This record gives sequence, C-alpha cells and structure tokens, in this order.
Amino acid sequence: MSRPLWTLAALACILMLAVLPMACAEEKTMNIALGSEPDDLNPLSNTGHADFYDLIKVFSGLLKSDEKLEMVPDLASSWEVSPDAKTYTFHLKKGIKWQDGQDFSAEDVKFTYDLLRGGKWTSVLPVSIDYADIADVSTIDPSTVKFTLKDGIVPFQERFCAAILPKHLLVSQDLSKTDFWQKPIGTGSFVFKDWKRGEELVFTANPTYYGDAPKFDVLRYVFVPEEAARISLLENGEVDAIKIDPRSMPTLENAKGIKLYSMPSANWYALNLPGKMWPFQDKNVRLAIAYAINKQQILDTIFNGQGEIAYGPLRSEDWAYNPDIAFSYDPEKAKRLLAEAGFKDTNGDGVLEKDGKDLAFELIYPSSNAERKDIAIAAKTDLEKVGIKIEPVGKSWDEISQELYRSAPIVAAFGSPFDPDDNNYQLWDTKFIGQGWWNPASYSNPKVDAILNSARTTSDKQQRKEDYQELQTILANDQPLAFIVFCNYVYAVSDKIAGIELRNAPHGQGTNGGINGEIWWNVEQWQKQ
Amino acid sequence: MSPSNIEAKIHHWKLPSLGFRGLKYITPGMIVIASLLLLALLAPYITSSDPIVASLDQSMQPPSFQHPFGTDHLGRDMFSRVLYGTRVSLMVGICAAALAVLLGVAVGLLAGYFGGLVDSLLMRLVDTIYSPPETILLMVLVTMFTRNVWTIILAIGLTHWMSTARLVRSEALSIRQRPFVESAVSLGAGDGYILLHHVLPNLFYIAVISVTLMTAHAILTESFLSFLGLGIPPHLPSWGNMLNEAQRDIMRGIWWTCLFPGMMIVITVLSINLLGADLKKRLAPVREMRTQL
Amino acid sequence: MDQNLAAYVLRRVLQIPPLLLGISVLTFLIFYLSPVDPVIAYLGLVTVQKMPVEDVAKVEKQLGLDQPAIIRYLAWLERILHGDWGFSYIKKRPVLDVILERFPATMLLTMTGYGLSALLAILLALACALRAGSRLDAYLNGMNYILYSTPTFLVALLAMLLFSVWLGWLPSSRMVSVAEPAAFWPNTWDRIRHLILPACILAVSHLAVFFTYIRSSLQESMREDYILTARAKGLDERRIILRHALRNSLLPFITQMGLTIPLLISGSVVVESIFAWPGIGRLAYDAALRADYMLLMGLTLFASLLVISGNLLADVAYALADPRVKLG
Repeated sequence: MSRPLWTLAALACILMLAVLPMACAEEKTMNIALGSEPDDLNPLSNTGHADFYDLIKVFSGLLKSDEKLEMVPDLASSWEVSPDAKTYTFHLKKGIKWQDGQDFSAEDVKFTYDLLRGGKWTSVLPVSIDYADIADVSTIDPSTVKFTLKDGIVPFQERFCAAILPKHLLVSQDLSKTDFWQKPIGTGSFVFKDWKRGEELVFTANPTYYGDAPKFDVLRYVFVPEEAARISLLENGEVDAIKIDPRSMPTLENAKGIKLYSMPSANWYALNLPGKMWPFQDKNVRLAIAYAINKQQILDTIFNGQGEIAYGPLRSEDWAYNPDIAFSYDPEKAKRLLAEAGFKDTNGDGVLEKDGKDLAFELIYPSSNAERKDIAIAAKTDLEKVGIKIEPVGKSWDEISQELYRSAPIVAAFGSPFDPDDNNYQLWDTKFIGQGWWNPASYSNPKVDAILNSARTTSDKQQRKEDYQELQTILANDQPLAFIVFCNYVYAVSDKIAGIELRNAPHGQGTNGGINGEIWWNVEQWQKQ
Repeated sequence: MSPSNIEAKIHHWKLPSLGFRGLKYITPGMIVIASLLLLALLAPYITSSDPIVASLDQSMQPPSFQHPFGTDHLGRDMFSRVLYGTRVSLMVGICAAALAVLLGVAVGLLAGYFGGLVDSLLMRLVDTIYSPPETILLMVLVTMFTRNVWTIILAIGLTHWMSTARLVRSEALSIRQRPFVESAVSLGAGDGYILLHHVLPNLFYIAVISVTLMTAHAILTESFLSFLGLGIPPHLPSWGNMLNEAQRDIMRGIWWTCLFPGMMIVITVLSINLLGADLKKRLAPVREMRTQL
Repeated sequence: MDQNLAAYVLRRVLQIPPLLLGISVLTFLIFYLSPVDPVIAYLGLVTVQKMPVEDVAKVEKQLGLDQPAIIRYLAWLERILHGDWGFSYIKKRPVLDVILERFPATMLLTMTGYGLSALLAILLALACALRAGSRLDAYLNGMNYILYSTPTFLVALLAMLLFSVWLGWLPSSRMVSVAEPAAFWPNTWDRIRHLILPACILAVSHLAVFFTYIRSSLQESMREDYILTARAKGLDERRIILRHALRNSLLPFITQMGLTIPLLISGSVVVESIFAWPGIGRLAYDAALRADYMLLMGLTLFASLLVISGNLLADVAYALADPRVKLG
C-alpha cells in the first residue's frame, strides 16, 4: 500500500525542514526575562523612586543618576542652582527630537511639570505629590527652563529625573483614557516597537537619540513569572539576564556561561510597632523586640546571606551611614528590658504579662510576599524565646489598607537609595502621621523633626552627614520599627554581557524582576561579546 | 474488571458481623484512611515539634532520625508539618464535602419529589452554576470574600453540590413513582412525612458515596488553591502550601520538601477514591453511577 | 429527516438565553454580595487611595451605586450587551479587549490537549477491551486511579522539571522561543515544540475521566445483544470491538466530552500558570492574585459562554451522528 509510504515521506520532509538551523539570535538583541509585567508604560506611575532610578527606556528626564547615584545631565546640558536652593535653571541640549520626529523644547518640560504640580492628575501620575513644592515653572527661551520652589529643599534636585512627556501629543488629552501609556513616544534611547501582552515587550534603538547610541538594536523583555522557567531560559541562552531569589543561587553557582551578581538594595525590612498601640508605647518593649530577633540567622537562611543587618534605615553603601549603631543579638538583654518594663510571667505559660494582659499580638504579613512571611515566622520563633507570643496573619495587599498599616504590627519594608532625606523625612517626621503609607509607627520626636528639617535645607554636605548620623543613632535607640535586614537583589546574567554596573537599588522590587529599579538600569550601555 | 476486583485479588479480611449490612469486608483503602484520620487527630501527641515555629539553624536538613522527613528552608520539621497538614486537608475536605452533599441532597430531593415548576427552576439553577468552570468560579469566590479556612470550605461546598443534586433528583424521581410511596400518599401521609421516612432513607447510599468521592475532590481542590497561593494562609501547614514553597527547592536537588507532601496528597486521595469505588460497588447496584469515577 | 434535526437544534438553541440570563444574575450576585467596596472593585485599591474624597463620591454617583440592586443589575447588563465589560485596573484596558486578546492561546492549548486526551483514552480503552482480563487491563486500571488522585499542578511541575530543566528536551515556558525564527516552517516547528509539554499535561490531567468513561461505555456495548449475534455469526473479536462496539460507545462519549469542557478550562489555569502560557487561565490567576474584580467577573462570564457554546456544539454533533435523532 502506497498511502502509508506517502505519509511517511511527507513527514520526513517536514521534519527535515524543521530541523534546519533556526535563525540564531541576532547578535544585536538584548533579551531580559522579567517575572512581573508592567501594567502600562507610564513612567510616572509610582510613588516610589524606582521610576527615577531608571526610566522606562522610551523616556528621558532633565537629569539622570549615574553609577554612583549622583545627578548628571540628561536632556539638560548643564544647570544652576541658586545658593538658597530655591531656583533651578536648566539649559537644554539642542537638536533633540521626539521619537515621532517633532522637535523637543522647553515647552514640553513646562507642560510636564505643570501637569505634575497641578494636582489634577494624581490618580494617573501619583508621583505628583512630590512636585507640589514647585511654585513656578517658566520657559526663559526654547532651551532654558527656570523652576522656583516654595522652600529651598536641597534633595529636591533628584526629582528632576522625572520623565518629560510630549506636549504635542498629550495637551488637552484625558490622561486617564489615553492609550499613550500603552504606546509611548519619548526622547529616550529606545523606541517602543511592540507589546504582546503576557508574552513580550519589544523596543528598538532610537536612531535620533541625542546621547551615546546603544550598542545593540533590539531590547526585548519577556514575561515569565515562574523562576524555574526563567532559569531554564537563561541556561539555554534564550535570554541574557534574569532576577532570581537569593536562595536559588546554589542552583546556578556552577552553571557554565552564567555569572551571578548580588546588587545591594536600600530596601529594609522591619516589624512595624505602632507607637499608639499597647505595648509598643514603651520604648523598652520595642528595644527588647529588636534585641530578641536573631537578624544574622534571618539574613543567612531567608536571604542566603545576601544583604546586611539593619539597625537603622541606612546601609553601609550609603554616604551618610553611621557604623556605630550596630548592636548584637542578645535575648538575655531583651528579657532584662522586658522585666524592667514591668512584664512578668506570673502563670508559667511561657508568655509574659503585665496588668493582666498577655504580651501577645498578631503580626500581619502580605500573603503574596514569601520573604515577609518567612520573616514573620522567624520573628515568631525568636520572640517566643523571650516570652512574647505572636500570631502570624496573612492578608492580601487589597486587604491591607493604609489604616491597617498604622494600627497593627506588620512586616513592613521601606528604603530609598537616593538622598537620605528621601523616605526618612516622610517616615519619621511628626507631620506625616496619618498620611497614606508614611510614618506607620506614628513616631513623634521633636529632636528628630528638628534634624530632618534642618538637614534638608542645608547644602553643607558634611553638616548633613552629621545630622543624618545623629538621626540613625536616635532611631537605633528608639526602634520605632524593629529594623531587621537589608536585602540584596540577585541576578544571573550571561557572561558574554559587559557594561554592568552595580549600585544601591530601590525598595519594593521583590524577586521577580520588573522593568525598573533592577540591574538593567543602564541596559543601553550593555553590550554582548 | 473494576478496580475493586484488583483488591479482591490482594486482600480481603472478613470481620465478625459489624451490624452494618453493606460492609462485611475491610479493604486496604479503608485501613489507610482510618490511619490517616488517627494520625490527624493525634498529631499533637505524636510529634512535639510545632509545625509553624522555625529553627533557622536547622534549615534544609535531609531526612534523619531526628527529622524523619527532613526540614524545610525555615528549619521546620517536615514530618510534623505533613502531619498537621493532614489535619487541615482532611478537615477542609470532609467539611466541604459534607456541605456540598447536604446542599445537593436538599436540592435534588425537592426537585425530584415535587417535580414540575420546582424541578425546572432548581435544575436551571444547577445548569447555571455548572456553566462557569469550577476553578474560575472558586478563584472568584475566594477573592471576593476574605481568604481563610472557612470561606474556602464554603466556596468548595457551594461549587460542588450540583452533581449530587442531579443524582439525588433522578433517584428521588424514581422512588416517588414506586408503589410503596403511592400507597403512603393514598393513606393520607403528608409530603414531609414521606420525604423523611420513605424517600430519604433510600437516598442514604448516594449521600455516603457522594461524601466520600467529594472529599477526595475537595482535598485536591484545596491543595491546588493553596499551591497557587489562593487558599489556606501560607504560614499554616497545608500540603498545597508546602508544595508551593518546595518548588524552588527541587531545582537545587532538595527532594524531601516536595516528595512527602506530594505523596501524602496522592495516597490520601487515592485511598478515599478506592473506598468510594468500593462503596459504590457494594451499596449501589445502579449502572448509571458506575460509569462515573 | 432534516426537519427533525433542525427542530432539535432549534430547541437546544432556545434553551440558551435563559441560561445566559441565569449566569449574568449569578455573576452580578457575587459582585453585589461581596464585601468589597464597589468603587475599589471598579478602580483598584491603589488608585482609590490616591484619589481625593470628592472624586470617590463622584465615581460612586457615576456607577449608580446608590440605586437599588435591580436597577444596578439592569444597567450592568445593558453595558455588558453593548460590549462594555468594565475596565481592568491591573491591565489598564477594557476587560473585553484583554480577554479576547488572550483567548486564542487558550483555545490552541485546550483544543490540542482535549484532542490528545480523547485519542489517548480511546486507544487505551481499546487496548483494555482487546485484552480484557489481562495484566495490562489491571495495570492500566491501577494507573488510572493513581492518575485521577494526583493533582494536576504536581504532574505539571514534575514534568516541567524532568523534560525542560533536567533533560532539556522541551522548552519550559511561553508559546514561542524568545528568538522567534522568521521562516515559516522553523517557526511552526518552534511553536509545536512549545505546545507539546503543556498540551500533554492537560491531556494527562483529563485522561482518567475520559478513560473510565469510554472503558465502561465499551464494556456496556459489549454486553448488548447485537454483539452476541455478531460473535455467533463468527466475526473476529477484534472486528467486533473496532467496528461495532467502538462506534456505539463513541456516541455518548461526544456528549461526555461536551460536559467536561468546564473541567478543561479549569485545568488550563494551572497548566498556563506553570508554563507561562499567555491564555485566559493565567489571566484569571493574575486577576485573582491582584484582586482585579472587573476582570474576574468578565472572565466568569466569558468562560461560561465558552462552556455553553461547547455544550451546544457537542449536542449538535451528537444529533448529527445519532441517526435516531434524525429520524425523530
């Protein structure tokens, strides 16, 4: 019978064609596997500083941060700051074009900053809150812009990293309904090409870019939520860089052609101990908790040793770090502190009491963050040894309201790699009690308020360093949140990639890998050998 | 050959008469389940390790005399975790199954006995709830209402009563037409009396079989929800949660955090299913039921 | 003859609108009864927290939240029928667009998995029937039970680890390679390679149900009188099974296939999540994890629609195949 023979022949042909060498990856493509897909390409959609750390590559700002996290010019060629830090004048580079061919000018800058400080679009541009301090923006000429601030806040300079939006495309548009955020046009190093939802996001190098041209043509982000799948893609060469959980390092330690990078991050984890809640009003209780938690063990087991123990909100990479605030794990001291605070175990059940109340509380952790859950469980074990009973409770993020954050003990995380004023001002100053996610411990210390306010208006760097070091000393002694650890972000990258620069990373990026705030902050400077 | 016949070739012990007509023999499935229940109940006495408390210095220990199933990444003893997980899974499974069967019997009874408009409406309801795929409906319910053990039991129960309802309905329908019911009606018995004394006892076997098979299904469902992170809160021991945490460990060659919970799920569900099949064979001579697993 | 068929199909189709209505009521009811604040459901917690209070009140008015349930239901229903299925706050796009975009990927996966599952089930059941009473039969039965008792995610995870991570034979995720081949045949082969593992897992997860059904259906057919007649006539056993028993068992199997469509979409949630397949199963998982209520509601409706259409197709296929229906 000839029919089976024909079928066989046809199959063989198909197989032969299929086995033909598949088009090998173009030399000029950079592929990165992300664990979480961005919702849109809005560069100003976060209240955190991940958006200033590195913008979505389609955009650029007046300034940007370099590998030392210092401000360098981007769209601006130079800028001046008045001595009282209230006036900024930016001189823009000439000849910059938007990716659709239109000319870029100071009008676009004024347009963007007016949107931000106007307060009308806070739901679309939540970062607007940071720009309310701008009193006036004016275009002196098509390539000069002058900003006048209400107060001379020294660290405000960092906020000029914000992406500039095209006036000719967005003026008189409803920002909440436009599809610009899905198909953006900017002045950055890459042009948006295509977005296949759930699969990949593709950019191509911008031919009219005003800065150094990227050394490759196509930048592709693929979305792979499962870590094992990302690792497998990296190992067979389909992608060039991934982010992994620190605990997965042993899997890739000896892998051929792959290099592991452990990048420090300013992200610190702590137990929020709301100052208005019993028993946390007593400083001794908070200190006892800080002494009772074995932070080294948490760092070693939960974060595979990648990171640093936290005694305060700044880590050793930071220029304002105070190395003298460290204290060691001391459960005996914790017990003494609790005894001093008047706690005794009168009924022998292993839990301390005072005034008839057990020293017991619920510790909330966001159920989608595995490392915070692990911290909660580790804290439970450690605190039980000194007579404090904790019940971990998992809640999803939509159940954790801002209200809850300030009224219940929770495993919290904050931190910023930028100026020490950033984050710390909002976390410890009295006027932020009750505002959004800030100052969840309801901490109020007039000395701290004074330091924070004077440090942000002084331009003397040495003076500021002393101020912030004093702040850290006070906080380490007060422990409004019981600081635990700083984590590092760990990445596995093909060893053919050059141009990687490690620097202190921003908070809240998890272990999946997002489009901002990761080791690929300077991907336009990477090259493949 | 039905699976129960396989067992017939292996073991069959004959017990002295237990007074229960249908169950003269004990099968391996029953033994496994009984021991699981026992283990679950006695968990706090068998192991002194608290399944929630961590001992970070003991992290990732392979199985040893001290830790028969090894420890996980937080140093928690896997043996006690698996044991406590039995409690959670069995409790969720049995409660959800009981709820589902209760609802199913109630609805099926009313529909089958009263027929007519009641029947139509109730069966439309069954069709309606059957339409959204079970997983999606579950995920919706679990997300829209808070996420704890009780809402999970409720959600699973509320999405699984339909098959029992259909079975009960057809059985109730046929029972209603039987002579003894007709004579009861002609003797003046009220509906309630007939339902309680004549119809319900004859449905007993369906309820028992349904609860058994539903428990197996509920345990699988709960483990799948917990694996995705949508089920039991992650710090509590549940086999699904443990498998979720074990995903990363396997890549490093750490097999014990995955093997034991996985094995427990399969063994538990398998023995419940075998029990159910056995019950079906002994209690239900109805051909219709046999074509379904 | 055709008149009866047409009448049957018409009757079936007419049963659908009340069902759809019922589903819409059910979906709305879940939404209505849930303790979630509808404004938060509509816009997402993060957005609402950033909004000033007056804006929240404005949105409440806009959504008609102060009105009685019936009015809200009817308004919602009208929006649905006009194609406004709400706005997904995590995807920042209309729900219907998001779903329709991901739908073809799921169709590809589930249809392939389904077909494989049915094929495999039939082959295995035939093997059992041809060698009734042998060790193969008992063995397959045992494996069937174990398979039925194993959660799909476990099978998926282990398969991915074995075939992708350790052996490296098949890709572990996505529909197509990152460096997508440009030429047609290599591209198709690449896509097939990516489809194999998830489709097989989906097939295996469904196998137990299909296998049991066909097997007992075959067994029943074998007990029918006409089979006895055939045997008496001296026909070869194999021929009997393949030509007669199988055909008659396949008929009710079609209905069974239709009935288990919901299970298939259920199964795709797990498989798509583990294999990073960009379909609606994974979309549902993302939506549940990040509490995007509008998307979840939309998915419930959409999935129900799929199931209903699947059932309709199965019934019509059955009607076409079964001569008894044609002849009335």
